[in-house]
Amino acid sequence: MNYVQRGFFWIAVYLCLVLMPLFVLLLAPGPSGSGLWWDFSIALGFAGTSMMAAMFVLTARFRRPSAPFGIDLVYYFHRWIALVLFVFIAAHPAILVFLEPGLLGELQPSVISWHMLAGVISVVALTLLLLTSLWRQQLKIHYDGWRIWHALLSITALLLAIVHIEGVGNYVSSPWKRLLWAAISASCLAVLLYARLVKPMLLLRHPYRVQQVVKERGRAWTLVLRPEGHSGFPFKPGQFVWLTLGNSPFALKEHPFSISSSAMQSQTIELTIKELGDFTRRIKEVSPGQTAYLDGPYGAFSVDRHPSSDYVFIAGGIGIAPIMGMLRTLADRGDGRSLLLFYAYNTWEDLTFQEELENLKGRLDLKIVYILDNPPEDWQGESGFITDDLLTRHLPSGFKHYQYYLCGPIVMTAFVEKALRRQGVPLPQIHSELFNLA
Amino acid sequence: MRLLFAKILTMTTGVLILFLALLFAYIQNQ
Repeated sequence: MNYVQRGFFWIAVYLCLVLMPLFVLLLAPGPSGSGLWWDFSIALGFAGTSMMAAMFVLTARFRRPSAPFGIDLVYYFHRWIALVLFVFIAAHPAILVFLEPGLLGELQPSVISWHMLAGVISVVALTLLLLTSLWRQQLKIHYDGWRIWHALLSITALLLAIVHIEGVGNYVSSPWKRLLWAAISASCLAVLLYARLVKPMLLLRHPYRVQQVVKERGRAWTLVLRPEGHSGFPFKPGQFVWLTLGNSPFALKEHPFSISSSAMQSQTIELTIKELGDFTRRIKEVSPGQTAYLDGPYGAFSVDRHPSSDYVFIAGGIGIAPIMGMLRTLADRGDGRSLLLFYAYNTWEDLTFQEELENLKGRLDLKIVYILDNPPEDWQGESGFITDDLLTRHLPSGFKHYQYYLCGPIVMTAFVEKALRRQGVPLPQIHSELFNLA
Repeated sequence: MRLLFAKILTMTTGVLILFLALLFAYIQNQ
């Protein structure tokens, strides 16, 4: 199967996982209908709960199902489908109360039953999950703390929703239907155990040691990591890893970074990190010898995935890191294909990898167009934004057949993607890395 | 393209589940 077929297969698996419990409940013996909208609201509750359960699978970083899409895209799907499931779950009590306002009386603290209380707390936990995820930065919640709360709230929301289902007993009167929801809970716990216990244990057996912390231009640092007592792992140029530094892999303190080193030299792995947030600002304080753990490789952003005679790379800021990994790999392979790099940065002085990029021109058929926000007075090159005009000036003839790799701030990649589309580049030839997984 | 794909996938999945929930209610009330 190719990537597209595999993608459709895993989408079908996801839909089966989410919808199967709903239709199993239709099998006899079942209650008689209570009215179309009443049963619709119950169906939304069931579907929302199985969608919650599927979230645990989506975020467990299973390599095979995420490979056709790239795990960054799976995380975006996780974010957006969470909004959909929240609407379903919120609509469930809202429709019931609208149809039967007397139900509100059952929620009074003096008379509320344990299973209704479980349902209410589940909705509250889900609401908190949503608010803290959508506005984490505005609420000034630290990323590491947020991850722990995110895990706890999601477990609470799911388990209490299942307690609510079992307690109400509607559609789950027969033992095997109760067993179905018990099996769903058990599967989620198994996935959770795999992600939070088994996987960290495997990482613990494959540690890395920080060999060097190299200062780069533009407030960026390169961590050079060497596998300790094992041979590392093979990866495709452009992929990324989750890095845990100075903590045990059980600590939930991991951050995603692109591999900037060559895939042909897997005896060391380099991650180039710009000082942007709480964690990245502390990278310069890392000392050689420190233990690190790498969970990876992940990602679909790689030249190896889309063979072509010519490639165009478009980088903004530290978005150069995965592209540097691809350029270094192509250079190590002695690749003779034609490469064009558009590299946008604030100033010439801060341009990360400035010297090495110039050196790579000698090893590759590489042309570089620098675009500066604040160019020096004697600057002869491009400045400002990557516009249609700028692309037209530099793209060679035949550019509609090239493969394009975009990495940088999401606003920039969206803008450039539209510009390329306007120039007539087919959408399947435009690939982007979606940073900001946090 | 990938963001667009994720958005389309999310919307399609949401609409499909909504439709099937309605179907569930319809079957149940036949």
